Amino acid sequence: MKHLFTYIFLLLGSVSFAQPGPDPKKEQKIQALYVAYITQELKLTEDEAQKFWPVHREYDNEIKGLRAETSELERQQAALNIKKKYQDRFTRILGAQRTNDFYIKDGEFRKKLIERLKNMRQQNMLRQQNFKQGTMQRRQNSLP
Amino acid sequence: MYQQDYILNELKDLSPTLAAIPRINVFSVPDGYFDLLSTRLLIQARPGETGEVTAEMKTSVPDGYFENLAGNIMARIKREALSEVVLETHGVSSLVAEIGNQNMYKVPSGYFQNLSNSILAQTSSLRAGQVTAETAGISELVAGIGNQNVYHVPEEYFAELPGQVIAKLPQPARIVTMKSRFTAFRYAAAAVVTGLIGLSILFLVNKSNGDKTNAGQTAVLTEARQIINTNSFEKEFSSVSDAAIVSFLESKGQDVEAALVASLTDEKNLPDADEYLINENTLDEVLKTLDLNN
Repeated sequence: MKHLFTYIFLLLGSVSFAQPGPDPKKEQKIQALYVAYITQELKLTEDEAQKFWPVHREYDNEIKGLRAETSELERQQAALNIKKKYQDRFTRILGAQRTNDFYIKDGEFRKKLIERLKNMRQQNMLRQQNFKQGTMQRRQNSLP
Repeated sequence: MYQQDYILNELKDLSPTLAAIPRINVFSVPDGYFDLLSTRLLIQARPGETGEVTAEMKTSVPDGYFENLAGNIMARIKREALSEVVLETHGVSSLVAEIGNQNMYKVPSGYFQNLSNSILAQTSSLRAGQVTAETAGISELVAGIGNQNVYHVPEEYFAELPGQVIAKLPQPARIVTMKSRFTAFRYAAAAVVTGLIGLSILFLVNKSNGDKTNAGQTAVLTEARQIINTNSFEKEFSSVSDAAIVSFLESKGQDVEAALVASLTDEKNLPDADEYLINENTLDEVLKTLDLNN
């Protein structure tokens, strides 16, 4: 009986600690931006949005599940298979052209994020350089 | 010889008388003296006998004298003692004295062989009459039984007794053999219970997560609608943090650092392929220029 309780506690611990913990608010904010971007770019109607986003959520969950793939090539192949799998469902909601546009806009949103990330890091680098130069200048000025 | 003469001359000077005595051994005993010495001493030890040794005694002792000596001595002692006892007994009781050494205590032949049986027979004959009379005084019925064995059992009684006893015993309860409790079975049972509990917990956690996901999805759609309605995409987009972007892209399977390199590099500004071979630090310098390590 003592061992049984030990197993239960270990299981509870593993279950509780196995849960991933990203910041929910930050995730929600960037997800909302993504939904807003795709909705505006594809000009989704209310009816299309109500049908599209639940399917997209399933699609997105499967794409997120690919993170554990062993190699990049295999991951890309698996992602392509998932896109093919959802192609028909997206097409029934959006049509073929807008489904194709969805993939394009999805990529453009990522590029925007990367661009944003790059700009943030460059600005941060410039701030650090300016701070270092200012510090050095102040030191030189303080010298007799 | 010279020394003897010298001693003789000296003795003559001291005592002529002694010197005149011829050299004769005066300390001699008759022939056979020591052979008869013991006999003579014994004779002298006997009171009333003369210590003279006869010629016969000098020569020899009777045949078997020493062999029978101890017996003769004892017989003489007994004889002398008996005479004293007889005289004393006569003084006490002439009747006893007449009995002499005769054994008065004779038993018939085979007396001790039959003694126990004769004693028992006499005892039973004597006691039977008394016991019967005493028992009759208490209970005539018991006295009428006499010596008969009233405690008799039918023939083959004890041979059949175990069977009869077992037949009368109540039927034993049916023996149900308990199955041995294998340790593996117990562990398996514990594992099943643990598994069920674990699955239940997992199901609840997943259900809770599903509820949270649905709620989160609703919140995302609501917030997205608000962004569209307020036309605040650019404003909200510019407020997204570095970590949130990285987390979002990585959740989509995007290699963020590789994407950053791809976005930062302009192939026209990259060094020629040969420069990487000429200078091994070329790649480090390019990466340093891009400064991706922020």
